[in-house]
Amino acid sequence: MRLRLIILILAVFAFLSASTGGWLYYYSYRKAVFQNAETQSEARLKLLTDQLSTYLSEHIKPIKALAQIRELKQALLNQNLETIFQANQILDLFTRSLELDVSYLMDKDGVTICSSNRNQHDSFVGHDFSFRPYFQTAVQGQPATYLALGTTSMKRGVYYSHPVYDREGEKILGVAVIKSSIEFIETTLFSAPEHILLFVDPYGVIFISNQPALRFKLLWELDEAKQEQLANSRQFGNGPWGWSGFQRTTNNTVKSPEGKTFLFTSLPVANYPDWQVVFLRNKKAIEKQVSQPFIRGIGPAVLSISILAGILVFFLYQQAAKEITQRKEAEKKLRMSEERYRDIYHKTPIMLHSIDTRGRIIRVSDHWVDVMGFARSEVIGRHLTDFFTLESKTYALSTIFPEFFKTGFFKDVPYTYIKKDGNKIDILLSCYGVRDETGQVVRSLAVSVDVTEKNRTQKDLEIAKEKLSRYSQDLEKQVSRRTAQLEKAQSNLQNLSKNIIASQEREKEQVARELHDHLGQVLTALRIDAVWLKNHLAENMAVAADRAEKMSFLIDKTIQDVRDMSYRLRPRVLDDLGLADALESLVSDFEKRSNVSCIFRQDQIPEIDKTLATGLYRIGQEAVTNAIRHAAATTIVVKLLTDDHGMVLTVEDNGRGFDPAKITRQTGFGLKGMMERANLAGGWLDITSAPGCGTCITCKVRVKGFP
Amino acid sequence: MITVLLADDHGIVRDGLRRVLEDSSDIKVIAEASDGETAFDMAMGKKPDVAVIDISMPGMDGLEVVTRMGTYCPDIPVLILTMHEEEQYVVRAIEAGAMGYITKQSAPEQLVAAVKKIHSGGRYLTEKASEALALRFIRGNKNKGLTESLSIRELQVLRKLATGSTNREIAITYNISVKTVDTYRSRILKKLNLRNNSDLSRYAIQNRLVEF
Repeated sequence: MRLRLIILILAVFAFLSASTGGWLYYYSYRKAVFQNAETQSEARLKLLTDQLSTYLSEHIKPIKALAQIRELKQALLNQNLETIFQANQILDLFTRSLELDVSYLMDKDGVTICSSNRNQHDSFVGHDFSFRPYFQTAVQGQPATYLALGTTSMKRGVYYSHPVYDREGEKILGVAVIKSSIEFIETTLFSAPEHILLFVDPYGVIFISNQPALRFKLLWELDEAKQEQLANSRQFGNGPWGWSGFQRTTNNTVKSPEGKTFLFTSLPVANYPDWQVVFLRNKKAIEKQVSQPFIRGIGPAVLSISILAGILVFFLYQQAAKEITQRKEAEKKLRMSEERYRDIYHKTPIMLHSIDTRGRIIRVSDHWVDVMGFARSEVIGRHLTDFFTLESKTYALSTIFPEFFKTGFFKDVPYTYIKKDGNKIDILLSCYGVRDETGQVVRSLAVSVDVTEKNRTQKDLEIAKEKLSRYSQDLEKQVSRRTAQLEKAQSNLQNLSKNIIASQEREKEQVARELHDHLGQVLTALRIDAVWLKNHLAENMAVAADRAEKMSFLIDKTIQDVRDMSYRLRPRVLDDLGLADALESLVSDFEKRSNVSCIFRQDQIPEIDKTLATGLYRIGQEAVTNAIRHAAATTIVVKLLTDDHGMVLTVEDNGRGFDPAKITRQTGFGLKGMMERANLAGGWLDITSAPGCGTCITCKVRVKGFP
Repeated sequence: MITVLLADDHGIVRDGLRRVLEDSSDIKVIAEASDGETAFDMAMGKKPDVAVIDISMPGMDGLEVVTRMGTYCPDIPVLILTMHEEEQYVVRAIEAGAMGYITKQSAPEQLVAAVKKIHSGGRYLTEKASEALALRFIRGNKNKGLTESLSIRELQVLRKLATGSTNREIAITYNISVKTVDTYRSRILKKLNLRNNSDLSRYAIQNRLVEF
């Protein structure tokens, strides 16, 4: 609104300045024109005056000449018909040749004796014109000129008079007069259609004018005495002479009876003292003369400037209006945002407050008031620390406040507030400083978070944690105790398992030895005897010999059985010749019984203890058994090799293979056994197999002092 | 008269063996021992012509006795007599220096002949035993080549085929069926990349598989 007003005022000012400028320009222009007109009119008037003066002096010389003529003197000296006639002839001649109005001769008493108009109805002859000043002057010996209205002819004219002397030139006989018409002067010189030109006598009587109505009127108002003088002079008839109505308003302006203003200029005329040529110029006409070309020339320029100015103003106004609209919009938005901010500030369920630089509360949110239990009016203006515990207050005033007003920021300052009901709440306060243009913190915006509950919970949590950690320590102790027990039990179990296997092996060995050594030897001895019997009975008792032979066969078969049984239980070769020979024997035994191509390869292997040898032998036995029984292999390769750490036993077949991840409890029993044996031997077992790709069982064992 | 040292830890068997030996008129058992130490002492003391020693004896076993005798009385030939049929024992015994090897089971038929044979300076080995030795030699050969991919039984069959045995003969020798022998044959041909039996013979000779 204000901006609009300003624009308007500016526009007005612009308009006013333009107008003033225009007017000033116009004014100076007019002044110049007026001055010009003045100069022109002055020049013209001067010219007119000169011309007038010339016209009015035109016949001074002719009258002088006329007055010298003898016939006139004669007529004056000797008045008779002849002389009068002669004189009249001269006057006629003059009148005709000089185109005069009239010329005549007066005697020294002022009576006209001869005249060129003697034959006309208004003849001067006989008339006494001695009252005329031109006569009076001339009869005194001085030629004169005089302007007057003819008393007889009632015509205006210029009178030229000259005394007529006698032959000696001493005595004045009479006066010769020439009257010239002024009609010509009036029509030729006084022609200015829009202005008024006057020739005025010393009394103000208008003698010549381009306005016929003004003739013989008084230019100025004249008092009665002067009017009477004028009437007595009979210069312009008998009067009365009406006032033209012109009034002088200023020095050089005159107001006409119609109210028109005229510029007044006057000039005296030579030979006619106190007579004036008056030039009244119509001011309006001059102005018109001034303004018309001005308007014609300047008008369009002024108009276009005005239009341009108008457009400019309009454009500026539009711009301003747009800007104003935008600003209004922005203001509206700002107001809305402020409202929103205020709403957020107040309605958000968070404790917000602002303090000034002296620590006084200048604003608090609704939630702050709600939580603290105070009315807003009780809070605003009070020092923030009034709501603190003594401890918090000290902390705030000594540490936080000075630091805050320096840095303008703080986070999670722990305070304790006192509510109206006296309860305390724990707070974490975060604040940031609102700065002015110079960067000084002028007020704060602070958020207080009620952490009373959180603190309590945390404390509880800590207690619980402590308890838990105690429990967990107990538990750990128990667990480690149990673990130790379990480890012991496991170790026991392992030992037991070891013992079981060892005792099993021992028993097997015993039984095998028993079978092989005892039963086998007995059977061998029996066979020897049976063969002996057969040999001894062959000659004498063929039947008995035959029986003995049968017995021998039976014994052979039994020996084979015993040997097999013994071998199955525990091959003696393992104890007698060692692992490599035992495995070789095993492999060739399997080959004999299965028709599967069984290959054994070995490195030079070190001496190993019996338990380890047994373990490896049993693993190999189980692996080869599995390969033959389940894998449908056509080739089995058993290798007993050495590596950096000990011995490696591998049993590889080209059978159908299996998925090691899908070993069932029953089918996996053999594998389990192998693993256990490997474990007990201090080694480990690796089973690599896949369906269709054969199986490779590797057992690695460390051997003491190896390599 | 051949004097013999008989060492066996089983009295009954020892008696039986002595009877077998003494049935022959020209063999006399001059000393008997039931353990290794005694056997070695007897051998050193009595100086028999031939020592017949069981492998499995308490204390010093037969193989060690053979080894010692090889050192201290190398002129007494040793015949190993044992319950064990496994070829591994044969090989060990010969390696230890024994001149002959028979099983107790075959003693009634072979003991006398064996004692006589080694007494006369020869070796006494059953066919099986000599084959085992041959195979061991082949296997121990550094220049193994393709033979390494053959199993013991395959090598046996290969040797037999190379020396001109028929499938039937081989089947009888190893107590297996003719069909199985054929299976072995084709397997060997395939493994050695050969076509027929004459290829096989050439291969066996070139690789010294049949010299023993």
